[in-house]
Amino acid sequence: MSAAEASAAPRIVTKAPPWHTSVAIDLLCSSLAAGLFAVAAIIYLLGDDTDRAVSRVGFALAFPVMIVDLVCLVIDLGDPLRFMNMTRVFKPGSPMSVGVWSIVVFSFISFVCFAISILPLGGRALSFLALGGLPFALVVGNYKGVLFSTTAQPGWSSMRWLGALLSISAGAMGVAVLLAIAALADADHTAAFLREALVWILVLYAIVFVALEREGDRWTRGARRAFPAGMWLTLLVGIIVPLAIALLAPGPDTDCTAALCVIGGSVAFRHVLIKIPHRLGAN
Amino acid sequence: MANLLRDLLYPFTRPTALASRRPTGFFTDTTLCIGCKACEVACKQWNQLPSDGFNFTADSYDNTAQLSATTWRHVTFIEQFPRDAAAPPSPPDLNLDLTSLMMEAQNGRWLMMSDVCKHCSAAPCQMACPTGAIIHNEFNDVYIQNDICNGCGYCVAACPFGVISRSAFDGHAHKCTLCYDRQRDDLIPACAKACPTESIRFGPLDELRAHAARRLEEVKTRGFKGARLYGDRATDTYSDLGAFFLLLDEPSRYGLPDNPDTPQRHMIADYIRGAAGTLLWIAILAIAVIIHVRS
Repeated sequence: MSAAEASAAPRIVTKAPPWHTSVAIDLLCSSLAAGLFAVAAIIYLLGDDTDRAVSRVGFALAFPVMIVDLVCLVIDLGDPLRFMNMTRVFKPGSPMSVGVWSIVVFSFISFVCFAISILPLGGRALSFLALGGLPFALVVGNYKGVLFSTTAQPGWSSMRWLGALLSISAGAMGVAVLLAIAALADADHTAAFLREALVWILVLYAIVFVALEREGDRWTRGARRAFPAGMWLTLLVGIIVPLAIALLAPGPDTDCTAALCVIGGSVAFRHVLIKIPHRLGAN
Repeated sequence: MANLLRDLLYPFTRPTALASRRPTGFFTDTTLCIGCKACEVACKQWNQLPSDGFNFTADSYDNTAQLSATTWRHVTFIEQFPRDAAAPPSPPDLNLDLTSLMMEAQNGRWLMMSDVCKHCSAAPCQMACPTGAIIHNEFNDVYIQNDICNGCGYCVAACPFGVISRSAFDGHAHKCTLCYDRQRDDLIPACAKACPTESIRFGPLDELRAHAARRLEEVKTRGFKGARLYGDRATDTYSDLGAFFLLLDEPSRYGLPDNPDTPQRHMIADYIRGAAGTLLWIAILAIAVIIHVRS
């Protein structure tokens, strides 16, 4: 029947998941912890002694950030006392299960690295732990994008590059924070290559961000209409401004500003991302 | 303390799996549904689900609105009337006779469908569940083990039909169990038992499919050319459904996705894209470090 309907069926069939601010914080903290650990590990494995001093700060920061992430993960559950049930099975077909097990291993390694970094312990053990923890840190930085794109939710389900974007965002945050630390610690040599790396990672971030924006279906376009300020803020504050700072005014004085911008853009992007199904469902 | 320890360890025990039995499901023939909501009431009564309150949606006689953690059967009302149609006669002017009743179809029609969990053969909620709380039971129906579920909400996000919800009462996910307890006692589900027109049929899936095919032919010969079966067989993007439907219009008119997609189909490719992005930024950083160390 072609007649207009007095009561049309709902446009969006799916129900938005009960994920709100705590999941956005979890998304930020897991990316930041994974990024910090991965960047610190690479610098520790490939850099010289001055660089290793900076990477030790990265290890020392990654674990506390991960603790905040774990708290958010638990309180977000409908029944937080059953958080251990997450480890009841391992399901490779469930990104959340893969992520949980990666977080379990990563948290343990990150704790040991934290302990070694703040104590005058050393060298070779940290190298092994950095190498062993690196793959798990990368999975922790990556899996949440796949977790979101592997849903039936409008907006998320069409974001095929979301895993790549969140992973690159994690890397950008890790590099930016360690760049700020290197600048504050007057480790000019370390700051110099981190600044160069940040420029190229932000270029990569921008390319994937644009790809993600362009590939979307009508729901993603709807999300752009629903959150124009958030999307532009992410692109402008999180990528364009720090890129401009690193290119046009490189130096210890501006590194902290660039790092703050990268973090701010990451916060904005994750906030917008979490809200997409809720906003589209409400329209 | 002993109770706490038992509660923590109990989910990790592994009971023996029950032997598979003949797969069962629902066939909902929407052409027979009269919107009486007896199925909704029977479901709530048997499963001891609380009332949703007397809410007024203001756009339909359907005031339940949707499936939820406390509504496992929902009769959807779709009123298809032309917006420019003449106003129906007010009650005092009603001169109901056989001719006016027969003419109703020209002015518009009501579609009604008793919606329920689809009990998908390859269920995205079951695949997504990280705790193993969602399983296919011995009747191949999708079942949530509420003593295991921790309310992570991933099944809510994964369901393309918007069936599962997380309860604000206990924080766990809930949906139709296909009256698992009744089936184990060789009883048919409460909704099918209560349906006065046999719009909801319960039984072995192969028998239901054969019946549905015959019924579709019958409806088509009566002039409903748009009639179709929904979910009786798998598509390129989605598995067959354990609860399938005979519809008179496009699925989206009933609040069903026209072409449901299994979210996990894209998972491997998404991981590969993610890994590619990861390797690129790692390579950038590693090259920057190596160049500076050598210089």
